Amino acid sequence: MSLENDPLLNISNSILNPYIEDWQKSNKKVIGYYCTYIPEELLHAAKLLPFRIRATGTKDTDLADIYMVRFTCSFVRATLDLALRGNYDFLDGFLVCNSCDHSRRMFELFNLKVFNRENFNKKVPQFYLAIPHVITDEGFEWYKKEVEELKEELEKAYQIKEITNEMLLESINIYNENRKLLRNIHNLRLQEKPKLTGSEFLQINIANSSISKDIANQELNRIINGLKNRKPIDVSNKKRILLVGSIVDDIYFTQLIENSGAFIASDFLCFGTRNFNDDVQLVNYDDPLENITKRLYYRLSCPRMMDDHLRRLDFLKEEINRAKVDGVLLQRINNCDLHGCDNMLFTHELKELDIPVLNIDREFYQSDTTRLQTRIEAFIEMI
Amino acid sequence: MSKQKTEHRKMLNATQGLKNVMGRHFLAIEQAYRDGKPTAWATSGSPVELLYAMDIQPILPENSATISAAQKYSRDFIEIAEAEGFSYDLCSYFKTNVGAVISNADLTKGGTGKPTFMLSTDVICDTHVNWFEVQAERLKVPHYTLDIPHVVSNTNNRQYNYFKKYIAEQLYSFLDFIQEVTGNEYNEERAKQVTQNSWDLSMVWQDIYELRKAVPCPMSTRDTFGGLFPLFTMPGLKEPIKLYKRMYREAKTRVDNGIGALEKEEFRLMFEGIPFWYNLKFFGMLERWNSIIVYEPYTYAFSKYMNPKVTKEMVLSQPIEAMSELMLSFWYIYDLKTRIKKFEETVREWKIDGVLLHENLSCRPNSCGLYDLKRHLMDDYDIPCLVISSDMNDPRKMNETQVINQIESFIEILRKRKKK
Repeated sequence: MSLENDPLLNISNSILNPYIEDWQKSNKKVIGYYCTYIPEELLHAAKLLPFRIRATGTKDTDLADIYMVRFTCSFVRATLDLALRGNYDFLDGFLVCNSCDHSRRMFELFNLKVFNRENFNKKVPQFYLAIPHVITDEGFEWYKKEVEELKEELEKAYQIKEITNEMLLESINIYNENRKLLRNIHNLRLQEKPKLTGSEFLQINIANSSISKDIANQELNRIINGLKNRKPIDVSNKKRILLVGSIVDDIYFTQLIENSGAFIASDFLCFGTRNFNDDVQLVNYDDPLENITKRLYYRLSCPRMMDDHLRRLDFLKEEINRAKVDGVLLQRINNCDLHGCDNMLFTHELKELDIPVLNIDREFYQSDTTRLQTRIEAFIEMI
Repeated sequence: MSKQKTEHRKMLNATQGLKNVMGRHFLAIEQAYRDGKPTAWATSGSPVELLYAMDIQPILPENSATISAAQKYSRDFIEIAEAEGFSYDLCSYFKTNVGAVISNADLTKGGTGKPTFMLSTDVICDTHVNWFEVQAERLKVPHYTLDIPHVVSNTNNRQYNYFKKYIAEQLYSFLDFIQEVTGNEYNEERAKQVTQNSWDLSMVWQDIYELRKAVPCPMSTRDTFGGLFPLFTMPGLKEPIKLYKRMYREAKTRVDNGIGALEKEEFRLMFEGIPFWYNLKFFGMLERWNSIIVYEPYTYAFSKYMNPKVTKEMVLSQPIEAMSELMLSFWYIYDLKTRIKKFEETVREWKIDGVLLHENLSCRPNSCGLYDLKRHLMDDYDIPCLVISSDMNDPRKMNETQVINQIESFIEILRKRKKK
């Protein structure tokens, strides 16, 4: 099986895709969101298509720079840039959470500059979900109330009589299945003779976040069946790498790594393991929303969750062994203090364990590829 | 220069007393280390009053970082942190602190000793928490994070009440944390006294700000940038109240006699953002163009009791609940709409001719909406604004000549507007 020009993987190369067009033709709604800390199952139960906002393919941020200073995260600026150019006009809803100081601002900027711009007459409901930064009992209680309130807001905005427990349970099953399928594919790249590259796996994850999970599950099953018959990729002369850090939503970066003598055997990314590592545990059938919230809150965290670094380190250590990697590539988008701090701590902690580490800063979009390639190649040669 | 002129250009005599007051704060820190009294690092915006109420000696590493900058050590400390692996674009307060700790710098250079525990809050930025998380890990001390939800335009009342409840629960649990770590118990009487002092301190500061509405303005940033420090290092103590009262009386006399901090006050400015602590002389330079800064949201923000819903009675009878409400009304938590409204009101009330906005390379939350803020102030309210790009603690990121050129041009614009 060749994944080149596969219809699912191709979705990752652009923002809009045929599945969305079909979805909207049948009068169904698409809601955009930034961060994996939102309850996707709830959106799905509301018959919405949750679309993870990204800026794949962006080369610069001229328009967004009018509103945001250059030292804010270039990923966030790039998404705003695309939105100002109309690439996100297809959205029928917009959900922002306080993932970080940068993306939190998108609630206001989309409201004022994107959805209120001249000649844009569509009314797009907007939602804000506040998420605790620490993992405590009090935090969970508050977060749950936030999610419950979001449910009510969705019902009101989209005139849904009620998002019932049955609807939520059905969505949970579909999403748990989706995460299981992603883990299965992940396992196919973890192995000594992998069936797919890190870049292909990234494409699958991006595409998965851009279509309905009902369709995605069928597609992932198709991919798995195809991969079983695929000839393993020869990575014997490549170094196995664990890729960690800021959002990566464009294969230009992973291909740059994999063309430099590395194979991305595993990752710790939000378009990767962080998103599918944990399932919703159906402990309480009477309150599926609580189960959804529990998964979100207690799952493998990203650095936006404070005081949880050691749990993230434990995951890295496990994954280093599981994927039998030769080194760890830590990367962050410039001006991200969250990943900056985490990566700095990881650097020292992993070095103490004698694990080769490269820690690089980069712009989100393709801007300094030669510098990055030189550093990555030097690292690969050293390990 | 005549005596009268000198009189005009001087900072308030009372402000000279700041050295003694801050000196006492640092002596108290040294004494605490000698006596084995519990100490705590705290980020700005955190409820330092609770530390005083629990007999914990607070240490504010941001305040120490500004000392490093003013003493011209911050650059060295920042470079030490960068050599450790901290990125060039990470917060310069944070890196100053990392470098100072690695260098074992003493208090006079902005050093901060190992505390008994650390208290951080994300009320201003996420980086505050990251900073202490990293340092707590490196120094192996307990760390308590106070998580403050951020208010955005559509935050409704229901969420607001949850937010308050969430903060209050954390504050109570923080008191338990202190007791567990240090053995110190919460004393209601002491808490009441501390809160009373904190309230009084803030009220005098707000009164001082009221005096700055006068034309000519009786005081400049020479008094407020340094004068700010007791607000976040010593809220709850009596000494700074006396200092602020002396500052108020002197400024009031100036107002009553029509004396301004400048001999000739032509342009009244607002400065938004954290000052460049390594180059405070820059602010004195504004006097060249008969310009004076009469309002800084940054120094005003720390007089925390600004929410009209939070009365003195509430502060004294329900200190934790009042603190929860106050943390949700902190200036830097506001959404853009509220910020624009506040700016417009301030410009009107303080009779401000133009606004200087500091695009601070270290402070993302403050700089994030800056262009938008500027655009609205200029387009909707015809308020002249100038964005200055620099950094609060890293002198490598300031181009002084460029900034001066920008200011000169800006003043020319203000002059032309006045002539119209």
